[in-house]
Amino acid sequence: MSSDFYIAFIQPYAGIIIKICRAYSYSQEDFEDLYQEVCLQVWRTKDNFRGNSEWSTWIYRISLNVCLTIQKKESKKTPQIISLDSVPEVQRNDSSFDQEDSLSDLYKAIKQLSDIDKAIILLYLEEKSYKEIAEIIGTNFSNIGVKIQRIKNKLKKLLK
Amino acid sequence: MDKSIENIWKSGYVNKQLILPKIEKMYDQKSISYVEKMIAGFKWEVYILLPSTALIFLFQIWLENDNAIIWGCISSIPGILWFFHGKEQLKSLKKLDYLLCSYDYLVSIRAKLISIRKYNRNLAIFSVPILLFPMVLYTYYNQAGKTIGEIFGVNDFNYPTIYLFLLLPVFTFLTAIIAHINFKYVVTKTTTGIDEIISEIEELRK
Repeated sequence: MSSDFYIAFIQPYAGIIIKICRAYSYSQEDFEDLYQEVCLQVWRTKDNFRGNSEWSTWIYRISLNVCLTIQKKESKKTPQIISLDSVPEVQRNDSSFDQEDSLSDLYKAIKQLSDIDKAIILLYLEEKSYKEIAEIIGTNFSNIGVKIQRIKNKLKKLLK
Repeated sequence: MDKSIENIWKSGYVNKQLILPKIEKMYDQKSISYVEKMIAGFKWEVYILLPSTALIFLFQIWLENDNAIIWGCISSIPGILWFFHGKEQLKSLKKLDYLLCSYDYLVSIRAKLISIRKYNRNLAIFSVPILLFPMVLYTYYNQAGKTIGEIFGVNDFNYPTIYLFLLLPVFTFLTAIIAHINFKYVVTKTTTGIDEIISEIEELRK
């Protein structure tokens, strides 16, 4: 992967990758490994991108696929024990403790969802349309709204 | 809950400049875990030699030949030697430290693995006549006057025992074919993964 490719096609969308990887990792090390794997996968599959959708949608799809595949592999090896204190910290230049705490709590709650629910809610929070969510997840468009409402209720309960 | 999850998400990320994880060493962990997996496979191959050797020993007892225990011990010797030799090879593989970068590490591991496999293939081929010769010689003198058919209980196989020595080139040849096929299969299997990572690293460097 040339640095040109990284700068032009990955770096502007790194936020997407970070947000998704953070939801599927249980330590800083896991998070960095996932991030790297997603970047590599984006690079490896760049020629498969046909331009039928936005590049960002492609990035979402690859990120979720990589995270789900790796999580599946890992859970086969060892049962995943979710610790509520195991949300990787994403370094930021500006730190607002109140906001970071709320966001960490939200991530902790998201981690307790099923893999597919995690993916749906992450895409919803990223303001993807129901159609795009259905397209990325590969599920029925008509169920998305109901599913999102159900996941939101679950998250609200977990955050209480 | 004071804020909606949408607000938490937005306010958690909005206007915040994220520091991206470094990807310069992205192949380090991948290479190390791949090699660890390969070494674990090799270790299994070495340790399986012990129960295999025990089985060969028990097989000799089961045959109830004359001096079965002695023959059991003799035929177990190569297995035991290969086991200790394999352990040494395992040590030499583990000695290859991850010092410089994943690329150099993978290249050195690849070269080492191929040389070990080649050595083991040749060892297997040359072990056959070395192991068989004393057995054939013993049978030749011990069963003098009998035919091969009488020795092994095969009817109408009335060849003199001198023909037993033909077993040496025949078995050596067969072992050479099997060892060669095995070498091709194992080496291809183990090096394909390494080669894929190496070519990706080379592509990344372009």
